[in-house]
This record gives sequence, structure tokens and C-alpha cells, in this order.
Amino acid sequence: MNISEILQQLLNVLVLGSIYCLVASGLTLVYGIMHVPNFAQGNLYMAGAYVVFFLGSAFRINYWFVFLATIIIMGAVGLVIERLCFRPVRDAPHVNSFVIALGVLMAIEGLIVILFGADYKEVRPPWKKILDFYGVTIAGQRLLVILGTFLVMAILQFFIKRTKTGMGLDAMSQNRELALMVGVNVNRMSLLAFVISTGLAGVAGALMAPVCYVYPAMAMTPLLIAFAAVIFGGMGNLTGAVLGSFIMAGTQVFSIQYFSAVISDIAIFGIMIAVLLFRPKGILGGRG
Amino acid sequence: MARASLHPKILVSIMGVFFLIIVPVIFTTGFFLHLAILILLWTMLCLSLNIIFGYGGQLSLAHGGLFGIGAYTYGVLATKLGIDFWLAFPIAGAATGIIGLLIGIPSLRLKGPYFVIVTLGFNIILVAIIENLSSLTEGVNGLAGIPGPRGIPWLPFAGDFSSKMSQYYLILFFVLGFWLIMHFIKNSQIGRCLVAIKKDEELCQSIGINTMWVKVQTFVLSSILAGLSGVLYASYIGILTPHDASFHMGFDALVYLSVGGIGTIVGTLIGPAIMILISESLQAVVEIRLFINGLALIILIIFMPQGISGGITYLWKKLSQGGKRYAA
Repeated sequence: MNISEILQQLLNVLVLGSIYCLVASGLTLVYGIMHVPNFAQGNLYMAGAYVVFFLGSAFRINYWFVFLATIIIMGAVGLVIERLCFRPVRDAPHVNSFVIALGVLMAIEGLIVILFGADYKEVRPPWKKILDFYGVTIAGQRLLVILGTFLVMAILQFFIKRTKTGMGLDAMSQNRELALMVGVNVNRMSLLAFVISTGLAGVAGALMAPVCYVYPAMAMTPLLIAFAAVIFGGMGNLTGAVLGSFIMAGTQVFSIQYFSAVISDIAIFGIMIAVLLFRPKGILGGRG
Repeated sequence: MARASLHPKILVSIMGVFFLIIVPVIFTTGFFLHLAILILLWTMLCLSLNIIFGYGGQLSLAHGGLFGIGAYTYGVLATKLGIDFWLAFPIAGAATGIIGLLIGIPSLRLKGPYFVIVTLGFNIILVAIIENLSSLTEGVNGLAGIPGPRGIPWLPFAGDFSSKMSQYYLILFFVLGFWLIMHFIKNSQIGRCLVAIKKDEELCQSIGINTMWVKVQTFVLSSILAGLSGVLYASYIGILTPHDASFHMGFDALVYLSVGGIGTIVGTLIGPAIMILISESLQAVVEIRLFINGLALIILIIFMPQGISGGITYLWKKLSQGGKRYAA
């Protein structure tokens, strides 16, 4: 292995890590506010990719319009899911909401297969150019994944740290009771967190759809890796989720490169178990 | 008064068992018998999930994998080594029990969402291992030609298991046995500890119950049951693919259990029966079934978290109480 090969792999880590980062941020946000591990997050990412496929092939419009439309549609989907599925069990035993999340996972997957079939779909990349930096090549769309993720995460960070509503979200994931006492609206925050998380899943799906094929089973790997990332950084901790995503992507890419896909699964899962057993609040310390 | 209120339950159980015994006499077509056998097989998997989730409150998503481990252990033993069903049955049960122990010890330390996520992860790992041990399991191609159980000539009613009807009775025999075991566990000390752990684990620890030990024992027992149902499944169906070990199996069991009634014994039969009959009557292909299952799960957990058997019990109580008030 030479230096350009390693650089190439690092670029792959950045691309994959970006996608995991978007999925994991949504997971951690929802967990911080609603205390629900949203098992449907991977399928929402998959649904986002299918929305891009559908809009792109049905209306033949510009990728960027499709991109924006996907975020809005996925946000709306999140609104409906939170209202219809999670709101009614807010005061029920916790495990009920876990089961609801699994139900949403199954319903989305079933619906997607009914609508589009189980085969692979292809989405044309908007920017077909392949860039070459001194022997390290990257397809334009992959670069877009990295840049787009960076932009979206920056906006999210600004929203949470600098706007009043966002600070409400942050406060609630740090200390629920105190936030309630100072008048943060639970229902509004839950809805907001869920809509943001499905929107992020939509972004991830929209960015990734032109890079890889779109198919129903694409949901599970990002979901599990995002869970591993979120646990690594501490459930409810946004910075931890971002850090964890890139570390997990690194583990995945390099262990697949030098060993095999099974070793990669076991390595990621092993890290997750080890963190849970020895540092249950995550590497950065959990919140909430 | 307490005896009087116990009566309908026993009556219903006896009637139910009687009905199950005469099912092959009523539905003589092969297709209906096939459905009845599938329902019983799912009942067993639901039973196994019910022990750990229904009584103990630990939502395990590894049960699809455990089911698959049992099924594949039998499949490999029977096809590659030619080991007889009656010998392979306990071996596969033990193997699944050991895997369950290995999964249970780290994951049962974790609470709430962490346990659920980790068991889901274990399921993925189990499937990956099954897919990659292709010299034994034939990987994604599937393991075909798994023989059914051989008859035992000296045992009455067990001379031959080649017909569907005899397969039905064999599986029914195990289901009834497991139900009995469940009934005893529910009323044993471990069962009571489990229900207490579900309510408040820290309180149990404070009065000196080793909650971890209780949970591990239960998880292993539940794994063994899942494995044994896998063995019966493999010996009935005759072909296995890695999909039979996937988390989707566990999800389906969860759906059926929720429909029937989480934490009830009768629910483990009602749930699979209703859901399988519905999806068959709609001629549903796999994907529509997935959608229906997901929807059913959401609707039931929101509107009827006790499932259908819980709903019936509630109605019964309400009616009988109403009657009493009226009489008084």
C-alpha cells in the first residue's frame, strides 16, 4: 500500500462518514429529545433516496430542485410519523415506542417495495466529472456528498447553538426537567426534532442516491453503523455522533480493504459493545 | 369466588387444545394443514420471545438469529453428518442455548434501548457468520434437502412422520409441551422475579434478587426454545436460506406476539393465527405482508397494547362486572 492508496481510502472514509454522520445526527437528536431509538432512521434514509429516484425519473427536473423537494417531502413524512405514531405513545411505557419504531421500519420498507419493487434503481449523478488530485481520484458526486454534508451540519449546528428554538432543543436534550420548568414546549420540540431528523435522512438519501444504487436493503448498514456511532459518542450527543460516524466509517473502510466485510461488521459491533460495557455514556460522555 | 372466576380460563384452554387436536380432521386439505403447521411453528417462536420480552420486558431482536442458529445447526448436522433428528434436536437446542448465553451475558447488562440495539446487532452478526460459513451452510445459495424426523417404531403414534398430519401432531406435541413449561415458569419463583424485574429492576436488586442471573437464565431458556422451533421449522420446510435467520423473523414474531397479546400464553397462538390467516386470505406476497405487519404493529401498540387476548379479557371483565353490578 502506498500513500496515494491510503489517501484514496481516506476519501472514501470521508464520503461514507458523511452519510453516517447525517443519519446518526438524526438518531441522536431524536433520542436526546424523545428517548426513542428510531429504528426507522435507516429506512427513512432509503425512502429519501427513493424520493430522489422518483422525482428525478418522473419529472426530469434539475437535481438541485429534486434535492430541496426531497428534504421538504421527508420533513413532511417526519411530521406525519411523529404525529400519528410516536405522539400517542409518549406517556406509555418506553418499550412501546421502541416497538412503534420497528413498526414504522417495517411499514416504510413494505411500502417502498410495493411502490417501486425490490430491484436496484439507478439515479444519474448531476455532476459526472471525475476530479484528479495528483493520482487521487474522486467522482464529482462524492465530493458533493462531503461538501453537502458539511454545509448541512454547519447549518444544523448554527440552528442549535444560535437560534432560540434550537437552543430549546439543546436544553431539552441536556436536562429535560429543567427545560420543561423554564417553559420549553415538549410537543413542539419532539415534532421539531423528528422533522429535522427525517429531513437529515432525506439529505443523506438525496446525496447518496446518485453514488450508489437505490434498493430496499440499503437501509440496514447505515442504521447499524449510525447506532454504533451514536453509542460511541454518547446517545443524545451531537458532536459525539459526528465523531463516531467518521471513526466507524474509517473502521469499516479499512477493515474491508485489508480483511473482509464480516470482519468489518464484527469490528464495528465489537467497538460498540466495548464502549457500552466500559463507557456506557459514550466516549464524550452522554447527555440526558 | 376466586374459583368461579378461574373456571372460564380452564374451560377455554381445554376447548382450545381440543380444537387444535381436531384441526387436521376438519381441515383435510394439504394447504390448510400447511398453514396450521406454520401457525404452530410461529407460535413456538412467539413463545420463546414471550418469555424474555412478555414476562421480562427485555425486547430482544436477536430471536430471528437464534431461530436460524437452531435451524441451521439441525440442517448442517442432518445433511452433512447424517445425524438423526432425535439426536440432532437436543444438540441444536444446546447449541442455541450456548449462543444465547454468549449473547445474553454482555447484552443483558444493558438497559432500555441499548439492549434492543445490541441484540439487533448480534442478529446481523449471526447472519453474516451463517452467510460466510458457506462450506457448512451453503451460504446465500441455501441449504437444501434437510430430512424430516424419522419415525420411532416402538413408540405408539410415532411410527412414521412422513405425512403432513403426523408432522402437525409432532409439532403440536412440542407446542403443548412448551405451553406447559411456560405455565410452570410463569408461576415459579423465576417467573415472578421476571415480572418484578419488568416493573422495577432496581427495587428487585435492593431486596437481594440477583436480577442479572435471573435474566441470563431466562434468556438462555428463551434461546433454546427459539432454537428448537428453528429445528422443527427446518425439518418441516426442508430448505434454509440466510433469510430464515434474519432479524425480519424476529420482527415478525414480535408483530404476532403484539397482535396476540404480549405476556400472555394464549396470545402466542392467537397472534400468528390471525396474522397468517389474514395475509393468506389477501393472497399477500412478502412485501405487502411486511407493510401489513408494520401497520398492525403500530395500530395495536397505540390502541390496544395488550393485544387481542388482552382486549378480550378486558371486555370479559367489563361484561361480567357490569353483570354483577346489575344483579346487585
